Amino acid sequence: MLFRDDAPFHPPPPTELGFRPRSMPYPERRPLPRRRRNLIVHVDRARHDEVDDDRRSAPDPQKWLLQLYRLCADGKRGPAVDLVLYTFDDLLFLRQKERCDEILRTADVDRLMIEVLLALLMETFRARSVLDERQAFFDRVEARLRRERAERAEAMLRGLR
Amino acid sequence: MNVPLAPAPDRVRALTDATVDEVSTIALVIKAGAGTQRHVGILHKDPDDARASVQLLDLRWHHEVGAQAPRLPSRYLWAVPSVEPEIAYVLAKLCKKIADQYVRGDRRLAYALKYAGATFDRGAGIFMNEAGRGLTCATFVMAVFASHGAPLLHWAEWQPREEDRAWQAQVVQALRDCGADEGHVTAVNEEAQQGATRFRPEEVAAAGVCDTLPLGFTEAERIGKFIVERLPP
Repeated sequence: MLFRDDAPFHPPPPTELGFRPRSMPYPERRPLPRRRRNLIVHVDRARHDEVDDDRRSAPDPQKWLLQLYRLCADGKRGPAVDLVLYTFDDLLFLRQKERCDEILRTADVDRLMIEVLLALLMETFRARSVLDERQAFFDRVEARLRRERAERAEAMLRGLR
Repeated sequence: MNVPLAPAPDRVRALTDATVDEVSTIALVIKAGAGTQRHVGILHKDPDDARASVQLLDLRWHHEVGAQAPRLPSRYLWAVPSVEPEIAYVLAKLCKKIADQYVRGDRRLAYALKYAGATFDRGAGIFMNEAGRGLTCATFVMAVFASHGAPLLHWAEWQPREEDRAWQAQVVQALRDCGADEGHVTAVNEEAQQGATRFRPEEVAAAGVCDTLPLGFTEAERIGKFIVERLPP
């Protein structure tokens, strides 16, 4: 066991959002790390100049989905999964439930790679009780997996309901 | 549940230069510490980068999440949990994201005893961190998997064990000694006094040996002892 405590622990303060967070204090919002900015620039800047690259602003769901479809069409599985994980983490962090739901409601599951679909389900799993559209999205993913990977669909989705 | 009565020794392997390259996405690792202390973490590797090195993600102590390549040769044993390859792929990516947030980023994670499944704020998706709320090295690993729909253990089956009280008292004292916030120490102490359930590192590592997850208490305890017997000193 290592004993080190560089920064003292502070209890969660009230926030300007008007409620007291149930978890850790909100860190200061700051620009994305270079690696993440590079991801977005690399992926999309040439085609979508208006892509948000600051966590203070959430992406437009439809533009964001177009970006995701394009990555999948190009076979860029890793960047597509990263994009899902980081974007939804930010959206949930910022409590942008409506944007999460809009993405889940309008996502075309036939245009996304299997790992990307699973990343969407896994990253939203912890917020499943507050995301109204997640169950319908799950059902569409399940239907596709039963079509394409019938023998393993149940194993892949077992813990994600 | 398909649990081997005597887990095959080759499912728990020493982490060496010769075996580390066999980690393709994720694995569980465990090593012995001082006395009866043991430590568990997650090995992960970027599955899209053949040149990427294996990284160890673990909760070392209060506000100290670790993310670095393990030193080799090591005293770690490793095992690969039985999850579908597509799930393992996403989990490996998730581990990298957690490292970005909690090691290279500005989030912190407290050390505490009580684990009740709900380790993430459901709305914000960040680890609970109120006074007295946090994780151990073992529950950190459990939380990473369970919070993303891939639970390793049937955590509700665990009960407080008398022999864990001394370890929990040591944790409370260590938190006090390291200057943790007094409110946090008090809350953790209350957890210990009330009889917090301890998930032992070897019981979490046992999930790497079984074909079907999540693993129940009886099997995890039994396989955990099997693993401890094989830990390098």
